[in-house]
Amino acid sequence: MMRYSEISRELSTDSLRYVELGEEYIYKNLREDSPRSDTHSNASSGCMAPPTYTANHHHQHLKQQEQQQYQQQQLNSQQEQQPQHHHADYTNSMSNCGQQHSAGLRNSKRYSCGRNGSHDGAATISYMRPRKDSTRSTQSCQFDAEQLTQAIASKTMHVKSSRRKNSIGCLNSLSSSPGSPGCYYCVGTAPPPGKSQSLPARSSMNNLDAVILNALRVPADELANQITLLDFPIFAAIQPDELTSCAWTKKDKHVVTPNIVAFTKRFNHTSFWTVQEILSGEQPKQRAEILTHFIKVSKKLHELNNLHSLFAIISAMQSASIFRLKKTWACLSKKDRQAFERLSDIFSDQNNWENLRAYLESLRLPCIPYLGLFLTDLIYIDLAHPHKGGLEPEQRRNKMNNILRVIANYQQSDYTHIMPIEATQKYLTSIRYIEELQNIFEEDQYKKSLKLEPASPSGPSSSSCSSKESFNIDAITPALACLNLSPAKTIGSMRIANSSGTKFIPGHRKCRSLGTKFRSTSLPRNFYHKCQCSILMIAPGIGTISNKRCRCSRIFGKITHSHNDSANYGNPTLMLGYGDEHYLHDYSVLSHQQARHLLDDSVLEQSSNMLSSGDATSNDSVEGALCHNSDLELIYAPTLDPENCVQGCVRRKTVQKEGRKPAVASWQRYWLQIWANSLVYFPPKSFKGSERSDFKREPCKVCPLEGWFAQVVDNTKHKNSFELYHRTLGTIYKFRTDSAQATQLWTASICKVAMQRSAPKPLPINLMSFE
Amino acid sequence: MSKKPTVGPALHKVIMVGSGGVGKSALTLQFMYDEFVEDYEPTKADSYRKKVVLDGEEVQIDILDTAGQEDYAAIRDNYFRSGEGFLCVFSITDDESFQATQEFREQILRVKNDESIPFLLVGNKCDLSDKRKVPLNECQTRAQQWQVPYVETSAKTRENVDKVFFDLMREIRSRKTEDSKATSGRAKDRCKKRRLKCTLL
Repeated sequence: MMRYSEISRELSTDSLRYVELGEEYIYKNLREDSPRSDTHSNASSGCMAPPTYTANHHHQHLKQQEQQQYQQQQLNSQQEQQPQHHHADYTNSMSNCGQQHSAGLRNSKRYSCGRNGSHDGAATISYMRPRKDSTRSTQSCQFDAEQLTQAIASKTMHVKSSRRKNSIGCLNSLSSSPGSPGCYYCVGTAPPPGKSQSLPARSSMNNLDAVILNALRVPADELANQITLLDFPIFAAIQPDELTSCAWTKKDKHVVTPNIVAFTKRFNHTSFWTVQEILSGEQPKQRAEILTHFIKVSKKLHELNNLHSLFAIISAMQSASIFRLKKTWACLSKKDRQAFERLSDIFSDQNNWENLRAYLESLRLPCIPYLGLFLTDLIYIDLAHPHKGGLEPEQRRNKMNNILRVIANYQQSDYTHIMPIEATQKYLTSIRYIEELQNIFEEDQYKKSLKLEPASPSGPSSSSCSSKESFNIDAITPALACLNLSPAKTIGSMRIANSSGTKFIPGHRKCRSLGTKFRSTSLPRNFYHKCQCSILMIAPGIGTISNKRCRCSRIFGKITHSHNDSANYGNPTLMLGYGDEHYLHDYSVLSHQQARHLLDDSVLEQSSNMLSSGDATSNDSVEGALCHNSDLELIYAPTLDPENCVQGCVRRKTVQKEGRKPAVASWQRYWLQIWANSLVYFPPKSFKGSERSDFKREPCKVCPLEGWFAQVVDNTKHKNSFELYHRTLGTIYKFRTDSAQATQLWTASICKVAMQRSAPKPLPINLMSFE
Repeated sequence: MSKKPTVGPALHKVIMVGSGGVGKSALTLQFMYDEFVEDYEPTKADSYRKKVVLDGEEVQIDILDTAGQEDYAAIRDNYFRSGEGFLCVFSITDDESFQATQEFREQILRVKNDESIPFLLVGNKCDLSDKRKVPLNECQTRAQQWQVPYVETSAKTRENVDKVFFDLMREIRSRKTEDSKATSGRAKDRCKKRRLKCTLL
């Protein structure tokens, strides 16, 4: 059983919730609530633990002032007629939304759970501290610590140890979000290798306190449903005179139009969360997955007629941070992209929001409209027909009443058919978002977006994700484009796409392979398809690839000459990059061995340029360059004695890929070799055989080993197996060899290589650094 | 002239930008309806579109003003994207609104990615000169920094209201001409080349 203390590390109310407390306000509309004094007594009524206060005594003073003022207003308002019906309906129908996060609702007594009964007094007291001199305010919510301990949700709970949920207003987390969404491990325990059953896919984890840490883990439908349940009460609470006051952009908006403010905040919160989640994906494909998920959520919101949150999510996708992520969008399926287009069309501002107006009119209840449209109309009506005291101008009254009527109608919506799911709501409301710091958040998000996909200096990069991992380097390193790498389907390993009609764009004529006069049978041929650059700029970290551009095309093209224009091409280097660190296997080392012209074996003069341009004649790219004599082999894999290079026949099965069990997993035969600091896989030629000759010359996969671990598995079912796993990626492979010794050897070698880091060779001076 | 078939008067898309309460909608209303506000109907498709004569040429202006939705932060990026020109409005009686123009400018640049996008800095409420909180030279300095024109207006007295819209439209128009010249210019070069080849023959 996971102890509270274990999750508290991740999710204690202190760290997660925004604990700054300010004022509490009584909202005019919640008239059924007990009078003001109860807001305090609510705390002491036994419903919940008293809220924790940050020492902020200044607020005490303000509080008093404001409460007096507010009380006065409340008294005033009580004399007015207020439509009651929807509140009554609402109270009854409002199944327990455990946490009302927004400031719109003061007394959650009425939401105390009759239904779920698992705890008393659903308590969200919302506090607000108005800023007197600004249009923005700080709102915060506090969740009852007690509730957290009590709350136990048994469904759909996933725990992720490596991922801290949106801490500290995301100012920190944006720059350091660890891991991909696909990684799940029990908090506090090591991942159990080889036991796919124990992976917390979608099964309930009875022993764990339910904590959702990632939007992907909640089904889209459920997200949409719960968002709607959170939205509606706040929308329903908006009062007509808030609307006619036209004061929601003024300084006293929290006092005069608190529910509108709260409702707007929900919008911003949802948008923020969407952007945040998408940006949490380290790779375009991961982000695309999240994006797809949110498009699904949008579709469901659309079905629910929740235009408010639908627009929030669409806006998030259209925001500067997300819209510019070309690679990510390119990975989206056509269907999803079309869905997005369709949904965003509804909110086009063309012709005075023509589409939205027409669409709203066509809808039936239940519906939560996008309020902004009406707000603008109201402002304009107010301007066009100002109320100068005395009789309200008829035009104004009529036009405004039209709007009020329409909105009141929407407030009649009934979403009671949606069952609340407390855990999901808790997750949704736990995202820290501070309205006041909105600009900073936006800024941070944009920076992160830039980091993930740096701006390309020139025009559009490839729009097709499937042809190559463009990395925005198209303009700069066409050679990498030559690689025709399929988009990182296996993150952390590079699959060299040498088939399936991927578009080959020859960036540089001479980047085609060199002659293969010199071959060594133990070296992979066509290792680097069509490009001499034997690296594979693997940087599954954040866009570091574009920082460490491999200038290999030029390198291979015109290596023997130094160019004035391109100062960076000094030493051709092999760079195995992983995150920010990459090794440079400096080819200059090779120069010690008599640099030879690859085609005719003549000795080259320039010692620093191993790989001369000879005209490419065949596709046996680098191999020619690499292995023109056996000494090269040595150099190329400096860390391992090639004679004793660990290699052999294995069978491999994917246990888990990026946190998910694969739909189909079977045992595949490979010839596996440890090469430099990578694992190289060679596919079999036929169905039988376990000799080297039974496997192809060309590797089909290369996987740099940094970050991976290998471990022998004690499993009677499959003898001689070991597992290879990568924690943060959430990928686990199981390997089977034909002997225990082989297993041990593999495991040991892999671990050794994975741990090892060659001393980073000093970068050639003329290698451009992009730090 | 241009190869494009005539589609009617050019449409210039203007976006009103600024904090709440600075009076940008007042500017819009004034410009659009002048004294005929009775004609204003918020829901019509052309409520914010108008034909005007710009330097002898009939053009259409389409104004997008999301007044009242200032707190909906996320929607801005998208409608910025659709704009051709921006009127960045603040109130000279409200320093905070002036400070906010900096953020707006950055946000617009981020989305449009173009420093020379048609843009005007507008100081509204100049009729309230005794309540001025933002010194004139500060406004002018900022406008110079951004290399944009600065104009003070008053929606109340209608001072400079037309001017800001027309000036912006001029910028938009000249920008569009530049852009089309750039694209058609190359075509001309190609023609020339071909001609040269022909004469060679």
